[in-house]
Amino acid sequence: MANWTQKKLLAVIGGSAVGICLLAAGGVYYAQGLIEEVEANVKQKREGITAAEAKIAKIPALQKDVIILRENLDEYVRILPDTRELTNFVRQLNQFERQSGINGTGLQMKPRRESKTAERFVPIEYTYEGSATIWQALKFMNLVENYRRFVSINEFSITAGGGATGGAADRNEEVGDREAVHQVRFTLQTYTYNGKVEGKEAPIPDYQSLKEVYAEDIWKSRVAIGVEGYEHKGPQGRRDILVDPRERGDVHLEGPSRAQQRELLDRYVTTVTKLREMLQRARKSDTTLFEVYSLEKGVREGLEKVTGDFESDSNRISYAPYRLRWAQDVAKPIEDLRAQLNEPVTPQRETDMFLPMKELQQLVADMDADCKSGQLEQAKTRYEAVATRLAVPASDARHGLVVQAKSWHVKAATALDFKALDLKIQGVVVNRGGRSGVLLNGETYEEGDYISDDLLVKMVEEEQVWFVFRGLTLVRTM
Amino acid sequence: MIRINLLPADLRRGNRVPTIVLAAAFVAALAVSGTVGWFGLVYFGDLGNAEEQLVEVEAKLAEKSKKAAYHDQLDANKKDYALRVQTIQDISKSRRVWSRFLDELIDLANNNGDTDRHLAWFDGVTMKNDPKKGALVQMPASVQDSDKSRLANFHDDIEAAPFAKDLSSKSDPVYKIDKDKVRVPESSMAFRLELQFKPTIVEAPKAKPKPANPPAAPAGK
Repeated sequence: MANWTQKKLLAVIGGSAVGICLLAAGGVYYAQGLIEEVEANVKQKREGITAAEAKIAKIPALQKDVIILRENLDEYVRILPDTRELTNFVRQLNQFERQSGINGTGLQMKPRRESKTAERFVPIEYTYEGSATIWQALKFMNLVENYRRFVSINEFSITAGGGATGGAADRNEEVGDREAVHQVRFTLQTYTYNGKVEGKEAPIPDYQSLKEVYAEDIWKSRVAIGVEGYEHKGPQGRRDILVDPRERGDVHLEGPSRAQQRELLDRYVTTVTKLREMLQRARKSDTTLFEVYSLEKGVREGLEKVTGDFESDSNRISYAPYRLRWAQDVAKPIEDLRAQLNEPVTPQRETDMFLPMKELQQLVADMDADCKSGQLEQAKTRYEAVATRLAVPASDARHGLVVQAKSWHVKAATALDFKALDLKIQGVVVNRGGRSGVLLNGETYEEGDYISDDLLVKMVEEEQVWFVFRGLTLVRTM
Repeated sequence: MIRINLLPADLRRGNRVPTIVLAAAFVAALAVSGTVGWFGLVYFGDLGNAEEQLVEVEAKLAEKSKKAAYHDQLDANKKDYALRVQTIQDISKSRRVWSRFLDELIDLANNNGDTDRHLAWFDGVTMKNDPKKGALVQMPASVQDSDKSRLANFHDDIEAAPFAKDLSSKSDPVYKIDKDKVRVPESSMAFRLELQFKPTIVEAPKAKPKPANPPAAPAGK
């Protein structure tokens, strides 16, 4: 019985222990599962953090982009008018009419395109009709196209007016081609802007200071989108292309024939070309001052001569193509010549402050001649008159000539200084076999003796004494 | 013989816990405490740590998510603004400056006053814009005289004009002689000049539909 109890006891203890151990192991297994789950969750969250951090890192750049876009969008939409601006646009058209001289006869708005969804930019079209010369029409178009609000010309037609057959306008004496009036019709397109922002506008902290920081980028971006403009250059003597330029045989036109007009035109063109060439030569850097003076004088006199009959001759040119040539090849060049003559110094001359090659060569030749003929003072003065324009760099082709001129100047100046020295030669002793001597200012000196630091007796002859003064050999005669 | 054990019950030999039981109990206690301890370590240690880490990470994520949401908002704003700017740019690019074209056309017809090369004029100028095909400019034109080389010169000059680079096509040099006895010279070559401009907005080519699956190859015999 006792043995049975012991066995039972052992079984109970063993069984209980195994049971508890199994439970604990099961608990561990369960806990491991939970840990794995939590770790997977942590990993996922960490990935979320990494993604969020990547986004956060992009925030400054994004803020910059948004600030630039937001600032520029305000500017851009000024290009495109909103509904309120349309009234101003119509008012502006009136001003363009006055500026161009076009005679407007009607402005119609084309029916707006219906759209179920709210569009950001809704196109609006106007049809404008009127009558104008080609230049007025062109000016009007140009004003419209250069308007600060975005307007495009979607359609246009210019129909030649004045002709009985409905063709190209006739040219007659009373109504020249500049005054031929045509029928014009333009379809002008502009836009209204729906400025509602989709979603919430992100508030950017410290917006104003960031805006200042990115001011340059904002400006650059704004420039990139600028609406293309064009400045119409005006008639400039050009003929109206909607006018038949041929002469009318049935209308007697007073004044010179076409051949005479051509002859007159060619004469003026030749004269003006010659004057232009003269002025070009005068403006060349290697032209001497004397040549510049005479050339400019020639151009002035030529211009005076040409302009004497200019007005009357201008009126004699009536053939449209010749009028253009007159404007381009005669009138404008004359105006340019006048303007160029009134310019004090050309920029080219201002930039080259050194003496031109030609003048430099002349200077060296003159100094050479002066020194050889004993005109030392003149040689020295010549050099000093242009000394400020002789600081030519060694790389310049004129540098060699400048060195020569400087050398002549040193020689002349030294010789003049030597001349000014108080040297009274009272007698000489010429010794053929040895050193000769000279009685100078009461003192005797032999050949090779220094009189002063920079003056040496080099050689004594019967009629003359050779000195070396500041490195230069000079002769004093008795 | 009857033996009577007079020792107290607990001191009697037969009632003491046997050693084997004690040993078994000790081993059992050791195993139980070991496994329970292991469980305790895993559950309260590792799992606790992991949960603590999770809480920490969640807090960090929540903090970062706010800034990330700000990023998303900024990004949405950027896309919206960029779309508008793009629209404005498209509108701006779609425009052709017609006053420039007319100025260039006038220069072309005037030809610097050189009437020997050609002398042309027009009865009118009409432009109609088609966003897809481009603008079409139509001009009933005439060139002085009946010398065909002048007409050819005029067409050559059109091809060399600054606006020619924007043309996709132009009408061929054809003509019909017109005579106007009132004019000197009375002959002129009349023709209709048409200039087709390239469209200002080039649409992106549409993606080609994917080809259907090829039929299965017949099984070889």
